[in-house]
Amino acid sequence: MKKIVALLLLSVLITSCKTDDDSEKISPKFKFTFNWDGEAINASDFNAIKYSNETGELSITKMRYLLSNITLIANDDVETKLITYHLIDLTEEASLSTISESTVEEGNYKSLTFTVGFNEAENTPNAYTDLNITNWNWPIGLGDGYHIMQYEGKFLDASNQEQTYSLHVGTRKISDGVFEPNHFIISFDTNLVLNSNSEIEIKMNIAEWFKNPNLLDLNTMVFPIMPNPVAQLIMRDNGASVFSVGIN
Amino acid sequence: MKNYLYILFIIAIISCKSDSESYVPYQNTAYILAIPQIFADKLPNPVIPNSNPFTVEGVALGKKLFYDPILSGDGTQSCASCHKQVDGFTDDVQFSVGIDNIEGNRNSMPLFNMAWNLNEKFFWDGRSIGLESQALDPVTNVVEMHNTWQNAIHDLKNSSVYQDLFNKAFPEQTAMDTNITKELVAKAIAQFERTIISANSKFDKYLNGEVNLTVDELEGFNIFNDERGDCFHCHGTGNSNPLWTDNIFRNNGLDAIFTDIGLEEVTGDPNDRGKFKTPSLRNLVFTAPYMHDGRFTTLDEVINHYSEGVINSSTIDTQMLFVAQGGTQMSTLEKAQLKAFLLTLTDNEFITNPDFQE
Repeated sequence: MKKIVALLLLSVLITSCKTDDDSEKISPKFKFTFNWDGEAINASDFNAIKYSNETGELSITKMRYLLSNITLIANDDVETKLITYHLIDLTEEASLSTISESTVEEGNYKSLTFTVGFNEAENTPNAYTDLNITNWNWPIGLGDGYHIMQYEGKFLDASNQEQTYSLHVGTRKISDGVFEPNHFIISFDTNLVLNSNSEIEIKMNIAEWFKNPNLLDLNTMVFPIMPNPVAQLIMRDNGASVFSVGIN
Repeated sequence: MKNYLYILFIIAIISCKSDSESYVPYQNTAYILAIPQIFADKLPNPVIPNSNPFTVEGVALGKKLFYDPILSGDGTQSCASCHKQVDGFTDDVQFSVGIDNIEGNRNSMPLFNMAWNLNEKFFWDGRSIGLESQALDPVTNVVEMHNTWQNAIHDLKNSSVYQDLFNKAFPEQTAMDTNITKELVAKAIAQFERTIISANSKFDKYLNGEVNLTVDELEGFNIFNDERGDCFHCHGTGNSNPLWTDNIFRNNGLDAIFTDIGLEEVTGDPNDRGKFKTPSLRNLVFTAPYMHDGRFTTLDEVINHYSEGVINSSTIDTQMLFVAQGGTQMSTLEKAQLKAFLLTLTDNEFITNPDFQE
């Protein structure tokens, strides 16, 4: 009888010893979505001239961008890198979701940050074989490394004629042999409550690329913009308001 | 007495065991694909399906089948008839002619580095998924080998050598019923095709630090990678993707109206009209004529197309940024320099490599 009681007590003791550290570990899921001022954009929306902004009517034919160092920051400032890098292609369903490489505890977090593109240290030329084979590389003469974004489409010019546009973002070439990184960091300092069913949604409002803080007029832009450091800076600045985050 | 009957029954069962049940499959040898260092450094692993593992015997059988006209309807054409090693595994005519003297409507595609086509879409219009699927097509294509698989398999079974070669290449599959099937034919050919690798051009050697490029070749490389040529978005930046293609389908501005609708024929999507697979730029010197319909005889014509011959249409690739002015408008010197660079992608060893010969 004594043994049974002792065993029961031991069991209770072990169970009650569960600390905060034993709370459930989760691998947050990610979902990447696109919208035009709130209207969802899917691959089926491509090619049709159906979007409008201050500069006219346009279509989307390509949208790929790269995020790196997607990091969750806990209330005690402990940072957990969830995703090293991820290439999102609006037409590739498999790229529109992924799962964290690390686990975190369920609970509240105070911030989510990520880098749009690779930071300077990680923008290592030819280092990422999965990106090399999809031609995500940025040319040597423009600073090497990798693209940050490839966004393309067509727009109607003043004569109502279709013209192509290509908004490719990457390292800025200031002059021959002089380059400046063009990645940018987005930080969402808001309470994030994560549980095992949580899905972190990273949303891109494509319309924002054209208007905030710089008005971007496709009619007056000179393409390609890749070798144009001013245009590259405009794109980077406009990128700051493009993203939002949600927990589903 | 009952015991005797029982023992006799057991003996009868044991003695009925057929040869096939006692068959010990041939132990074939795993084939280790020699991956060039430049590929190992810059590309993901090649596609080698679990359902078709490499074996020495499988590759050897695939090569024999590739060169054997036995697969064609009248025994006159093999895969190699339109995919000649000396031509970078394509041929030198606009349209290949099949066994019935009928021309196809697309240029024979060069064959190399196919194991790194990670989307696994083959043919100019991507209609086959996987090399094993692709290899089935030409045998029954009425303008190519114009055979039936029933006939082809019959001929293979009646040959004096193939049953043994199939048994050795696919011992597990053939042990049970000693069959040769079209699926095994395709698997063997796919194994051989995956070994066809080209990675030793002058530019590869330049990247390895073995040779230098001339001033014109280097400037051509710069033109390739900037707005003067604007080639890199489809063919890679050169130092990053040794395939020189991303295997994506594009309308590169050849026509305003398409008689051959390309990818649309497969997807049914009008947005895919006139899109064809982006080919590699390796070995261009061997693979003329160019484009899906072989319309350009020379490399100069190709360069002229991208410089001033691009034609707009509703599905034009939006990376053809200079379509409004017909192309990138290269100068004569720039064209010559770009051509000089493109010729550094020639892999002379590839077209004489005995590993790929009959």
